[in-house]
Amino acid sequence: MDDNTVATLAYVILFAPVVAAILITLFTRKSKGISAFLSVGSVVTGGILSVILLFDQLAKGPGTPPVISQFEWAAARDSAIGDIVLNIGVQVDFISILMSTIVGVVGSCIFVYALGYMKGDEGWSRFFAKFAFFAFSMLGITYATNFVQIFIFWELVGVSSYLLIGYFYQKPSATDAGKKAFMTNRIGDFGMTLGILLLFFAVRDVFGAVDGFSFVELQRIFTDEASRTLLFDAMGWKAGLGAFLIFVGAMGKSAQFPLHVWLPDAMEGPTPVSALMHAATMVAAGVYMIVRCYWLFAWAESAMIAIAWIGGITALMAATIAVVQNDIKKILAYSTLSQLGYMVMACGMWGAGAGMFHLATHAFFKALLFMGAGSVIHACHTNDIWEMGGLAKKMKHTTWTFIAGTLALAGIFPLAGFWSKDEILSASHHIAPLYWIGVGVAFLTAFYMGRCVFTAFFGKYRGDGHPHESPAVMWVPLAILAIFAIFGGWVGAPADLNPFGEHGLQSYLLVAYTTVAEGAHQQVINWPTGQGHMAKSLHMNVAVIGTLVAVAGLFVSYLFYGSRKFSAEKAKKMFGPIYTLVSNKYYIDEFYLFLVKKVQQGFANLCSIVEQHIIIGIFVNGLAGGAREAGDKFRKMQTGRVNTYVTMILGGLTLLVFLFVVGKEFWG
Amino acid sequence: MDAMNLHLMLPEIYLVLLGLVILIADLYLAPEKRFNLGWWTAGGLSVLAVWLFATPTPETVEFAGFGLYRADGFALFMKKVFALTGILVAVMSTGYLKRYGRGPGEFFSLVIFALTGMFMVASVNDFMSLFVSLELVTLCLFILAAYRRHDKLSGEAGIKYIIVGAMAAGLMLFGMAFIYGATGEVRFTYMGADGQLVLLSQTVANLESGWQMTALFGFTVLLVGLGFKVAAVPFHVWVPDVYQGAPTPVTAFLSVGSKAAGFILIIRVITLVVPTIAPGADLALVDQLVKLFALIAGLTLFYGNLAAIPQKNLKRLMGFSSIGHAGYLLLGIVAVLAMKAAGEETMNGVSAIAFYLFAYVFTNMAMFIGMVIFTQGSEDSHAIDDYAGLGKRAPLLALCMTIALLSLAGVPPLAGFFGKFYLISSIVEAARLDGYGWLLVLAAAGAVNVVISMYYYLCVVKRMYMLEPTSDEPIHLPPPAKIAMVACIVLVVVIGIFQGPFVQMATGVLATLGF
Repeated sequence: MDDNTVATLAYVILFAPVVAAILITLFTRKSKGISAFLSVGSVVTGGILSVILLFDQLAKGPGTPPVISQFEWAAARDSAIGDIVLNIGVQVDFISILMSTIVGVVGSCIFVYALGYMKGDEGWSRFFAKFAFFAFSMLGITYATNFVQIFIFWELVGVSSYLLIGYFYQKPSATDAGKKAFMTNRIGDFGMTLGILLLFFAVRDVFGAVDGFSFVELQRIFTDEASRTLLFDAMGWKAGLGAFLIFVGAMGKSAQFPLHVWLPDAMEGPTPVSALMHAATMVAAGVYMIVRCYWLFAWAESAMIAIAWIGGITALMAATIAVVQNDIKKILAYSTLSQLGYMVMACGMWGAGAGMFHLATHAFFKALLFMGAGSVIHACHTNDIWEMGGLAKKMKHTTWTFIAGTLALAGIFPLAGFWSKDEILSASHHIAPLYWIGVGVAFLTAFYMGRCVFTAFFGKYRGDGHPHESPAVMWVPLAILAIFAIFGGWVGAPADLNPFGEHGLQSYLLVAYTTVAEGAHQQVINWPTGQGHMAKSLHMNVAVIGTLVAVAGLFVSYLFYGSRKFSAEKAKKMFGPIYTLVSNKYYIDEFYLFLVKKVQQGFANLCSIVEQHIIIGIFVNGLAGGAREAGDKFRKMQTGRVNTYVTMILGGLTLLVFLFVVGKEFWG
Repeated sequence: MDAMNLHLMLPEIYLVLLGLVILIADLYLAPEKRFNLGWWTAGGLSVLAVWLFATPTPETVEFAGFGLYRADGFALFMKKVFALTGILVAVMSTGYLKRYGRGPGEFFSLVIFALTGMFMVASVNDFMSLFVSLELVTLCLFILAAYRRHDKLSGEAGIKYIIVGAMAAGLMLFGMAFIYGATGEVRFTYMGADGQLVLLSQTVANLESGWQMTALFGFTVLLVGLGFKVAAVPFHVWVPDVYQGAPTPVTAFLSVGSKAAGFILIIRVITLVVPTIAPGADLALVDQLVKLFALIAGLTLFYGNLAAIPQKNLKRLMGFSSIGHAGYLLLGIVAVLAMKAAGEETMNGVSAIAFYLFAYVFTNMAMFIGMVIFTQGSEDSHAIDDYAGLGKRAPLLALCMTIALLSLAGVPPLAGFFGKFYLISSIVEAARLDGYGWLLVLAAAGAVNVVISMYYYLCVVKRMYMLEPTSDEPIHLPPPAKIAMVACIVLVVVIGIFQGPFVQMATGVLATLGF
């Protein structure tokens, strides 16, 4: 395909959902069928076109230069700091196409699934309009050509997330969760704004007219040894700060510690929303952005170390919390947190390819798990795994797909999760503490997923309903995703095990973020840690240890919850204080509440006093009183007597003549 | 230059004929049909408006009446404003006069003759034609203000207006005499001995310093006369009483037409008679005028807006608000004068005034039409308290009046906001000139007064929506007035949102302004 076709297809993928959202909102709210058709159709179209683009990209081979098409959206020319031009457009390269394929394919499965899940809901059209709007926002991030555009869509994703979390707006907990998500994200976004501006002005100072928002321009600067040194010398410590501040944006969206608190609450939204946004795509936006702007982070070593540690802490903390949750969606939510931490950790250790690969596999099996959970919730009318049990016999399709997802997430050979987790652990090999955190998280992941599966799907049914299998419209998407979860990982396997040999996913990814197109000429970059090559074969020790802990995790959970050899109650007592700490989510929410209630509220009270007495008392009321007083005086000048009027006119004239004509002579 | 060129004066001729037709028709129509003369007037003026809007903006200045009359872009623009004002006044007067029941023929012909005067004002090129045209406007308005002659307030308004007006006219003539004395010329532009077009401002610029003082005195006194027209403090004193006492449609006419006429003349004088200082030349006259106008603009802004606060009568409040608006328009004049004093021919102040006046027509007219509808043609209930609960009694009327008030206060995205915005930005632009940084104080005063005016306008809105109605008598909205009011409001919104064509129209007047 030539560049024009590629760009056109990307525009269609990007704008189809928003057109659907607008049409639904304006015209077809009443007719559910058309609304659903528009919404699902737009996303499925996007998915199919993304796959076409992906195959085109694969056919062109690794390292195809990006196709960029953009138009000027707003501009301030000849301002005090020179021209500022903001562009909107699409940047089509392997990374954006891969992300768009994930959004499109996983999105299509979830949209179809939602047709069954949302059946009979009053807000059907509203739901599908918002859902399509979300797809548009997410694709806008995916195809962004510059920091301003990615920021705009970053905010739009925040808005659509807010709208969808609070979808059941009659429930106070849902609207609260929506607000919490929005506000937490705003903190991250604020950091990101600062980072973007810091970078922009630094680039402007050093290079003048270069567009300091554009990804391609910045990539040129950062990957060229000479210009990078120039910029870093000028920025000094601010370079690391800038990179970290931009990462703060990713911390908000990808729910990294300490901005992770919104994600578990966001499960108040409908399950398809949780699956698409809070598991597969939106929360991956942060990781995607890190990979997209990897040239920026890679050389900011201090920022990278911080990123790696934040990822590691998030992964471990969330995994421990997941162990003590009883709500099936909450288990998956914390598991998502933990896996996002994994990806961020990998990115922070110069393993962006591993992070992106895990993002892809995780999108498929986590969406699958969420939708499986939705199917279970749909059947049992409860979220509590202790009120389920024995579902394996009643819900065959859901069960085998859920187990496939579980094994993939646990990282059992040869399912998808195994390959990507192996990449991550290999990447983290050189920071020992983080490597062992990674291994620990692998164990915990297998354990809490085993706990969930053994409790909910095996044993005896403990609820009081009559659960039965969900309709085909719901389980067929599950089956499709399960196939990806089982076989999808092979595309990214090391070369000697990969069905595509040397041309696996990793080769494309590595090239995509390690080279810069200078016309037809490709320049390969040496990363600071020399990771710019693709793994030829498995790191045997990493793979073996990873698999062993995963199997061990599953086995231990079987002993506790399957065969009940060990008692979970006893374990709880044994770990007394630790259990309390973990089950209260390390009191982070309470700590934030304290900050808001005591610190912020105290400051607000102080401001209120200043406002009441000084601003209102003196400035506002004082000035207003003065104005009223003056008005009253002026009113009295209007006596209604003509002789007063004539006197005023002539007096005024005399005064003016004195001031401006005669006075001129007097005073020179 | 030295030709009659009657074809340029066709709009004025048409107006005179229209006025005569109305006057004569009044004699032959049956008494109950005479009130239809309002529609005749509105129709005749609509034809004129279409004609004017279809006329392309002239690219050169043409002269008629042996140099007394000029046809240029600014004149055409202002004539469009006057024609639209005339139509709206005719529409709102028709129902009003039916209720009052007296003499529609004279009323409408006086409106048309006043409009003729305004058309002439727009085209003056000579102190003599300036005086005569302005007196034509004022004399017609004297009569119109006292039109409810059995009503004490209306009579009082007429008498006060005529006394103060006569004095202002006398002062104006006095000022002109001094300028004539200094320059020996009454024409703004004339053919020099060598056959070249000469501007009076060039003559003023070449005066010796003694004669310059004479001219400055002349300008100052002339300004008093024109300040009376535009209601600039301290020559505004007649405004509240006359606005309150005059029949409401006449008040509307005064507040838009008469004020616009005054501003046209000020603009004509400062663009054609006040010289632009060449770099290095020593000409204190212009600088003095900048300070004089700046002082008056500041006083007018604060006086108009502060004195509006304690008002209890809506017509009187509109009178003070109209003084406040004159203050804003004077900002544009100050900007132009400051540019001239710095030797620049940038006239953004003029296009800002043109845009403001264009927007002001619809905003103010919508407000007055609303008042006429509300009082049902009587003059009994102009107390602001009577508007309590209007939002419930007549939602459409309350909505239209609210939008009009918000536009007057200058709330974006309504037309009034951008009018104020362009005026204040013209002042800020002028403040960049060397030695005129202090003009920023004036710009700040403009911004502060937006807030003050917001208060008293919103007090009216508050009564309409927050308080309970004091009477549940239904309000009848006569269709023609209703349509005119809604059309005005739609334009207020449209001009605010799609300013492009309107701004272009207003800046189009600049090309032929200074010749």
